[in-house]
Amino acid sequence: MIFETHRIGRRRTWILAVLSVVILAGSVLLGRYPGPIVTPISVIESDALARDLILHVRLPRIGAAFLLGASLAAAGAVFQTVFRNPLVDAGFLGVSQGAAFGASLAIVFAAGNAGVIQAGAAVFAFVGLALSYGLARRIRLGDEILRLVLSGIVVGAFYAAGTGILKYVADPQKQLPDITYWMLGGLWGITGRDFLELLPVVVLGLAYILAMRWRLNLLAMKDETAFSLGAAPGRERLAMLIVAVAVTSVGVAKAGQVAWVGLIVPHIARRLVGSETRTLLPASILLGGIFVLGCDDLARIVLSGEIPLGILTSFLGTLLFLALLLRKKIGGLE
Amino acid sequence: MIELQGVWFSYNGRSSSVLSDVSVILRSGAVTALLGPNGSGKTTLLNLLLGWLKPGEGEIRISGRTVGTLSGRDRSRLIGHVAPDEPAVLELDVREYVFLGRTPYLGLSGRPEPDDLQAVESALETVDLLSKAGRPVRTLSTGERQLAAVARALAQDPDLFLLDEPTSHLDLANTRRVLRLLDRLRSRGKTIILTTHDPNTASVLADEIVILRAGRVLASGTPAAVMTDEILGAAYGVEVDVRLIDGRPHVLARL
Repeated sequence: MIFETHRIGRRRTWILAVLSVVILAGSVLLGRYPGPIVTPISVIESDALARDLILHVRLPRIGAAFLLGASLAAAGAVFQTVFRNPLVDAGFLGVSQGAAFGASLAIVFAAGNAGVIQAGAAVFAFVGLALSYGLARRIRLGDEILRLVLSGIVVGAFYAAGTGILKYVADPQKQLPDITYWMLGGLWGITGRDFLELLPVVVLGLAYILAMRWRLNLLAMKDETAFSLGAAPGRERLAMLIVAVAVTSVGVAKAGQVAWVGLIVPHIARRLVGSETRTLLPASILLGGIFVLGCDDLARIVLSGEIPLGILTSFLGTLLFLALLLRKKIGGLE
Repeated sequence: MIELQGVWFSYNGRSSSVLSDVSVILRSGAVTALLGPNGSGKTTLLNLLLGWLKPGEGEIRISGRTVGTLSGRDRSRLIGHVAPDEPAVLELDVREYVFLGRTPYLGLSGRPEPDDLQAVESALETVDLLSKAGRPVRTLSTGERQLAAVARALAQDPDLFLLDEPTSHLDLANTRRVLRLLDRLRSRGKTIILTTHDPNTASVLADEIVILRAGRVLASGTPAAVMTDEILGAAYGVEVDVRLIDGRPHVLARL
């Protein structure tokens, strides 16, 4: 860490790390049992049900929310850098539409079994990536980035049409609401087992992205330039995208569509710590975790019936983003 | 010494060749200009020298080593490349951008040693961008951006610089800045190969010129030897007037 911007960025990343610990710990005490918002420590000591609730319901959910936010934000930062485009996220290569199609397919034809819905979402997210890549190789237009962008749009639209057909044929009493609720996104059903299934994929994926975060700078350059600096742009880009899609699809498979996180969090992180990917990635991961966990805390405590997480992330995300856009400078960084 | 032997190339296995039977020897420690009209194969040839493209037939050797067999790290310490209009990589500032040139010397984490920082500062000083080092690359003018790209290649410290149309979008003053910079690199013993469609740019700077036309070498040699009415007329398909200014040929197309 050498340059002045990095020093500021690093300091802010540490502040985000401390905030993460605070919100992770604080979230344990938030919930609607027994009181309306806060569960005092004295109650945890005396009430066995409260302890059980925290251990088996609240903790997995808090962990899953943080991992989900961290994954979506990291994947968003990867996609925006690789595609040199600030308006893309991991949903870009037909991935989120693929997940939605897979989940809808499972809801309609596999009687809504939770495991099958998750598997369907994850599998079709990856099929989306594979289709986009395969199609991009056959398009004879522009450079690799443009071809991927075009094929991603085509695959996404194709999936969206498929999901539309599934919605049309779905049983309107049971299946259609299930599809709709899945698409709104939420973590209400998360169990300890779900969390443990999420953990290894996300930890390994984020470890890879963090280890390679300096190389990500190179993938934002022209292919020839990246190659001249010793990179293998095609291979490294594909590896990064596969990992980004993997962490996204396991998260989306468990939680449904949680919108806007991958798009907005990297922007906010960039405003806070700069664009250099060595500082951007850790900051995005922490900020994503904080943001989704904060939204999920609100989803849990504000109303007795839950507000779907995807609605809150979209609503608060856009407000936050608007505030940032209107405020020109943050500290020393533009 | 850089040797190209019977190099053929076509894109994606198409039947029409972009380069046909190119055999030429380029001197180390000199400036060679690849000159020719648009679409004559200059950039393709440069990308073959970089190793980014592989020849369909033939061989390219740099100091006796076949380009295609070099590891990424070896290659990137030997060959630097500056593309035309390098995109302003998201929002990096000039210093961060030039620092990317140190990649061949860094570990996976990108953590710099004092040497790396020194190389960045010295590259910025050489191109006279120290005062703008903290600004985002996208806020630079076209000329300054080109200089920043050259500084990135300078920080890389290769023996061979490949520059694709380094002056094509620049005004007279900025063209001069880039050409003087390349002249200074030559005096440090670096080998420079650049592409240009402008014969006068080639004549002012280059020790040797290779003229390409439709993927074949039309002529190669010193500016005085190859910049004749006949050769340039054949290369560009127009009638030209060649005049000597300070002993170097300059060319104008006749109306």
